[in-house]
Amino acid sequence: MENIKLSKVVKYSRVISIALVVFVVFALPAILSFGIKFIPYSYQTPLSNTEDIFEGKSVRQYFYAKENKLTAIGMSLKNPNLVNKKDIILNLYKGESLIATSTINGQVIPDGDLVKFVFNPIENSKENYYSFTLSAPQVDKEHALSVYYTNHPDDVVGDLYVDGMQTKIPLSIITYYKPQSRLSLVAGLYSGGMNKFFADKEFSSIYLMILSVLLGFLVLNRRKS
Amino acid sequence: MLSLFKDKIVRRVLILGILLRVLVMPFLFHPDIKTYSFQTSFLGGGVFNIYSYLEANKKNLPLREDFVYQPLTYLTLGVWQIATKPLLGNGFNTWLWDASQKSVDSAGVFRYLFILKSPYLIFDVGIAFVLSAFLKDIKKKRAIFSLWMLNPITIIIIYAFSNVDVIPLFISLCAIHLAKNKKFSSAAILLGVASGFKVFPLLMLPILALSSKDVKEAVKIFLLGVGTFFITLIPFWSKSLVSSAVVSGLTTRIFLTKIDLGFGVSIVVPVVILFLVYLLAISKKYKIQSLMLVVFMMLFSFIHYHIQWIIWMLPFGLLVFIQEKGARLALLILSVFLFALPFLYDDRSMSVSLFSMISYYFTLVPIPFSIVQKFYDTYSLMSVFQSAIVALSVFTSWKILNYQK
Repeated sequence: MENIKLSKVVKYSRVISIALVVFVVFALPAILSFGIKFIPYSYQTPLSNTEDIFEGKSVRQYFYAKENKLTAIGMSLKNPNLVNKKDIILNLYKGESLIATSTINGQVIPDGDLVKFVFNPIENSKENYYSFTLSAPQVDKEHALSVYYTNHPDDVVGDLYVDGMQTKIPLSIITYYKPQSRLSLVAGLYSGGMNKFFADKEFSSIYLMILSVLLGFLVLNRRKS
Repeated sequence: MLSLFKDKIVRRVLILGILLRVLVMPFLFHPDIKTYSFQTSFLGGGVFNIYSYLEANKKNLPLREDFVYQPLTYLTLGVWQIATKPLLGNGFNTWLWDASQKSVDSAGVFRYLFILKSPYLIFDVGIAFVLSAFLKDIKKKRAIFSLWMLNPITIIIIYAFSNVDVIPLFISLCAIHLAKNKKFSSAAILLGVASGFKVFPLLMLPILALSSKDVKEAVKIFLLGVGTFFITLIPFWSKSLVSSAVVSGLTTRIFLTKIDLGFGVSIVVPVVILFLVYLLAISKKYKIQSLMLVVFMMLFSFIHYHIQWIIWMLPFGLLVFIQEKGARLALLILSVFLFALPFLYDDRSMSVSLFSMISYYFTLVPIPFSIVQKFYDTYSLMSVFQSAIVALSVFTSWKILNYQK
């Protein structure tokens, strides 16, 4: 068993290489897409100053849901040296009625991490105006977590209130939505990638030409031998 | 060496190997390539000493990492960028300077990745030819050429992880080939040049020196190698070069594993290993390439290695694989464990983020670390893998050294 035949290894190595490259480039993205539980509406806007959250101090951020099945809100939190090990709570409101709550413990929030507060999907959320509060009732001022503002708000965010007082700029947040169907997500990923590839016409044609020439050489070489 | 190209089988393997590499090049992305391409782009702007420049201007730059490679990497990749500027297009600099998540939307990303990775193809194919030059029998030449060109590990490590180490590796391999033909002085100079790209070839220098005929020759070879290395550093010499490249966190990570003896003294395990292998080299009973493999196998057994580092030992692993039948199975299993372990690291860029240029959504996919965590402690699993690597490395080293004795 120890003395493996070299010819066999060479043969299998060739088969594995071809299979692996084809699998990684063409099939793996589809398989990985099954792990995407929710998709963002937009990119995170640039971060600016921060606002501390602790006992007696909370924020309320208004925002628009741009798609149906709103299921998470993401924001970057400052937690140097994991100083905060208590809960931070996000309450989601439509008008004044509480419709969802999501709690995350500070000890799983590395400093500056983009933290996602996840809740059950809200079916017909598109074009509705919501707000959420962020509070940390068990946290004293010295162990406060901080949330980031943005100077470049997108079309998702509305007004922000800190302890009931309106601020000039909002928080940097990302809203996430559950994909309408798994198939549409996979199709969207592949078509998005293809569109980007063919958008650079010069490169895509040269690249495809290189591939064709190499394939041609391969076939020609095979016939000759 | 290039006469091998006349062989039809070799030619077919070469074309197929290049085809597979071309398929991977534009689509898989590791953030390292953007960071070092951003840094090397300053050569085109007239910046010679990148180390001092980055230190002085870090606060105003979108990517604030140090340049962790040696000066020749900066010059080579910088010149490549200058030469390919017309092909990279106008949007390239905007993409380099965009540190936001939106940079993945740039229509030119596939073009950039393809062009930036293209020089690796030359050195990569070069390694296959140099490896075949180590062997005399045409069947073995074909086998090693095929095992390098059609090897899933080399393809993924070089082109998915944008591994610049392939350049110093090619030069180091040329050096070892020269040493095999008793041209130790030229070999030492080449190893010095290779270290001017990245410091790992310096680990091979003592083996080379100790394999020479006497102490005087050994000292001469050692000084030639180290001297050449320092010559490549002199024009860039500064405090920032030393801190970011020569003794960077990445370089010193190799010497992190210690056994504490108390009173502030500890045994540095990798240094013990290096000394042992260097002592073996004095006996001159063993092939240089086998000792190189033993050095890297044993080092990786006791350090938290980066996946890109595996390539340092691959050519030597293949040479031993072809020549020592008894070590083949252990080497095969070892390569699987060595390659698989880094995918378990708690690092998004090691797995799912490789696809982030196709879509940003892939950064939202759970990484293997967190998937395993749901069923079993990932750190425990990594420890099992690392322990298996130790056992396999010790066993393989013993097999190789025993066989050659």
